[in-house]
Amino acid sequence: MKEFPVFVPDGADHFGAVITVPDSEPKGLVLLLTGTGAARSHRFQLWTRVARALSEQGLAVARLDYEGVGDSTGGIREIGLTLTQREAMAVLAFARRAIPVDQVAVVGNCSGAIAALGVAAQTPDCIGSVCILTRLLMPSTVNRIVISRRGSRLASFVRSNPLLHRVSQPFRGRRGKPSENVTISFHRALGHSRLFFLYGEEDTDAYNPKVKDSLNRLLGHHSAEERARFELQVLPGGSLSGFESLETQRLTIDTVVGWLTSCFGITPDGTREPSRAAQT
Amino acid sequence: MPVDEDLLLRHRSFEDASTGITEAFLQPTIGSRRTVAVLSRPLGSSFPVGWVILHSFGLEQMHLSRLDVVVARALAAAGFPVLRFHGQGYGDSEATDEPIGLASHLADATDAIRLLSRQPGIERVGVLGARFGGTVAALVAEREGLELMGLWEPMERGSQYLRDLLRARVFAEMVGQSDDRGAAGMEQLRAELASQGWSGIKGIRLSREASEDIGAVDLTRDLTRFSGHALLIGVSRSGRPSAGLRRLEERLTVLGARCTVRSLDDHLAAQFGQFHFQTTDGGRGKIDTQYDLNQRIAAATAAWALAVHKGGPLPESGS
Repeated sequence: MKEFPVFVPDGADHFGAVITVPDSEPKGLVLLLTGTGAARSHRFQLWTRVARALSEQGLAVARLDYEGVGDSTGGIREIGLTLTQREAMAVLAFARRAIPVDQVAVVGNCSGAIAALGVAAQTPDCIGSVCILTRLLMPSTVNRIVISRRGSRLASFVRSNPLLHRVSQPFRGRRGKPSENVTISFHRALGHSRLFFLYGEEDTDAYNPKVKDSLNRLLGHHSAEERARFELQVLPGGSLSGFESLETQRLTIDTVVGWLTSCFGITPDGTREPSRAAQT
Repeated sequence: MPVDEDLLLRHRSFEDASTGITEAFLQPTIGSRRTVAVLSRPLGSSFPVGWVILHSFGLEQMHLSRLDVVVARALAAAGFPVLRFHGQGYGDSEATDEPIGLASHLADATDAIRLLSRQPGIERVGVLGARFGGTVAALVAEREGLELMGLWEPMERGSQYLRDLLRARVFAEMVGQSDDRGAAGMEQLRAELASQGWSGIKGIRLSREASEDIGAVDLTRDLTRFSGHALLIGVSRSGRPSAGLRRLEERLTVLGARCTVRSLDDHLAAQFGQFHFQTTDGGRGKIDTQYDLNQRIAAATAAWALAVHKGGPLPESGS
């Protein structure tokens, strides 16, 4: 395995990225996207570890810094979720120039999961998208306030006080409508790509009965063949928010690597079978 | 078709005429294993003084990493070469499963200083760092006999830093449990460190040795001979330096150091080193609440570095 740190040019900007290349000819390429504020290696080297594990399975991997984050250039005070995914598409195009492959997949976490759906939607030969902790529903006003203050001392105080924590419970769930940033990409991506949504069992603000209903309604717009491309798994043992448990980190890495190798049709002995998506 | 490695290697660096800097990725051995570093340089001629930026501990490394980048680019634009890197156990480093601690940070820092010292045109090296990174900078400057250090809101006493770190896990685990769980939780955590030899703290594997090393740090006692130039930048809500920063200033002055203290006010100063994005526009975007502070720290550091190098009057201490 070799790792190449690169600056990918895009207009006046340069996006920091690391491209991991397996020793053998790559069987495919995987793009890893972080959530807000995290550099390319992600919290606790999560993407570094995923990239190396996938490389051992014969896959090339690109992980990247968004504009104004990590080693990328640009300075931005405000980050917006868009449908264009400029950084991700620029790094994917660059990586494909260096690594000729006929199939790609994308993985994203939190806001990066929405970006991953956007990349999958725009990439006809994307065969799989792993979306970790996708926030399908727009937050309510109260929920937005809760989210924006979650790193504050006030939030720590509320969490540490059992009574306040219990009282605040109803405000933490998402009550809004599905975000268009998610739904537009979801529909386009499912037309050609497998989608794998991943949550932790304590991620009830992101995955709850309302979200299940919304997902079912979204899937209802698709044919049986397309619906079969959608999978969802709830990991036991806690929340995927922040990956602040060593066990959660291990479980997430194993699950993502296992799903992707299966998606590319790579068998445990390293050979490659036609993937489900490739067969359809 | 084979991988075009030449294309990948050609993109290890870039030049930016608008800011007057160039940056190159390096893959040096630091802390006995390979990692990724970035060397920032001015596009024109460089001063013979280079700076190594030392990142903070645990999750703070990520939350403060953009500050490190912004300062590196400001210093490079001012004429200084600057090296920043991922210590072992962080980012793109080779080690992904070994405990991190004061010892690993100090070893990495020492290697990074030697790496920059070997670069063409470098005659003198200074160190910079925020929070825990600032503490490592001070300790390594003392050990290596460096004459230049800049510390941004450094951890003056490790015992308080460690207490806050452990408390963060206890808080997370207390959710929905009784109030008296807090004190008991801290004791249980300390017992776990003692008996098991390590503990998972907010996503990192903290070893007993690391916790003891960090808890024992007291810069006002550990610094015994630094007599060079020191920049101390404090970040507080009031704009006044903390008692810890004042104690450090006094200690450095006693040692004969030429100390410049800058205190920056920021209404979110308490979150320095933590997640710094707030949701905006109905959840459609996020604001970086540390953006302006990063620019101010970078400007203050570059102004001080220029004054020290050119031998001119140092920026006055103050807010």
